[in-house]
Amino acid sequence: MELKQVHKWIDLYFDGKTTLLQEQELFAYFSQSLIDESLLLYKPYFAAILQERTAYFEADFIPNRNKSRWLYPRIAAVAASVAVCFFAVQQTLLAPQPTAEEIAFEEFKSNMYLVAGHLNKGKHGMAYIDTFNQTTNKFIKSE
Amino acid sequence: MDERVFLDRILAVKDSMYRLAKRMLTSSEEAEDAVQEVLAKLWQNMHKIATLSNIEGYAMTMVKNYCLDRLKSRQATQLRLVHVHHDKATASLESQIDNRDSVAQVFVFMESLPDQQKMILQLRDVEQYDFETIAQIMELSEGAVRVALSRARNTIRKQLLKAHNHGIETGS
Repeated sequence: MELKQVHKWIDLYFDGKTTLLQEQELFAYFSQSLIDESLLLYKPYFAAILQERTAYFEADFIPNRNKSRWLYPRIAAVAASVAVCFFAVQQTLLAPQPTAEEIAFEEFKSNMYLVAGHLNKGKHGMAYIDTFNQTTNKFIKSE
Repeated sequence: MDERVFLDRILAVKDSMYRLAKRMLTSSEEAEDAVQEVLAKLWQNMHKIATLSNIEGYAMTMVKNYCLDRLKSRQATQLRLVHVHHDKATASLESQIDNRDSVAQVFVFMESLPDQQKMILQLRDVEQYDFETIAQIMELSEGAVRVALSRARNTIRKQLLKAHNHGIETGS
């Protein structure tokens, strides 16, 4: 490449007006060992860019399939738990509630048990009534 | 889209993604983490983005946004790495040291650019993308990209001239 051309393109380059092709030719010019003295000050810049192009991503990328593989089982487990809780709550809420008549009957029943408990007090004393009937020395003779 | 085809497409730009992340973030390790995270996100959303025509550009945009988020959240440390590996086998030791220092200095100049200019310079000079692609990645107009690139290169040119003249401003 002619020196005059390089000077022209260098001015265009630093003004951001060169094409990719022109820029490639400039990089090619500055990567050779013989560079005109008037352009030596630009050499480190082009060398730095060329050096930068050689940096590579050396780590491995391993796609994380675990997440998607366990995603659906996790969703299913959570859904099952929610369903169990829902049905348990529903069973509690939807259990048949006693009607007013049933409540009244239960109250009556407990009252009757209470009355019966009092009436049965002393019932055991009635066990001697046969003994009184069998005695020969009767106070009141019916015959 | 088949998983294998998708992986091939995004892994084809992993080096570009890494270089952009390395330019913007503090260390190679952080850049690797950035690329791994973006690749994982792309993989998780494979079915959503498989329909895009430019998955590669989309991946680069994700890296750009990731880096900007990292920089904004100030999670990145202020330490900056200087890359010093350029030399020529035939050059003398003195010349090698000079070259290495000069190249390292250029990286320092590049680091001093605003984030947007730094990224555009990286995408154009290192990745050699055309203006249309850069505009898509940066979510800017082509005109804005050209202006930013011109500013970035001119800033570096001024610093090169200043360094060449041993720190004396020439006014050119």
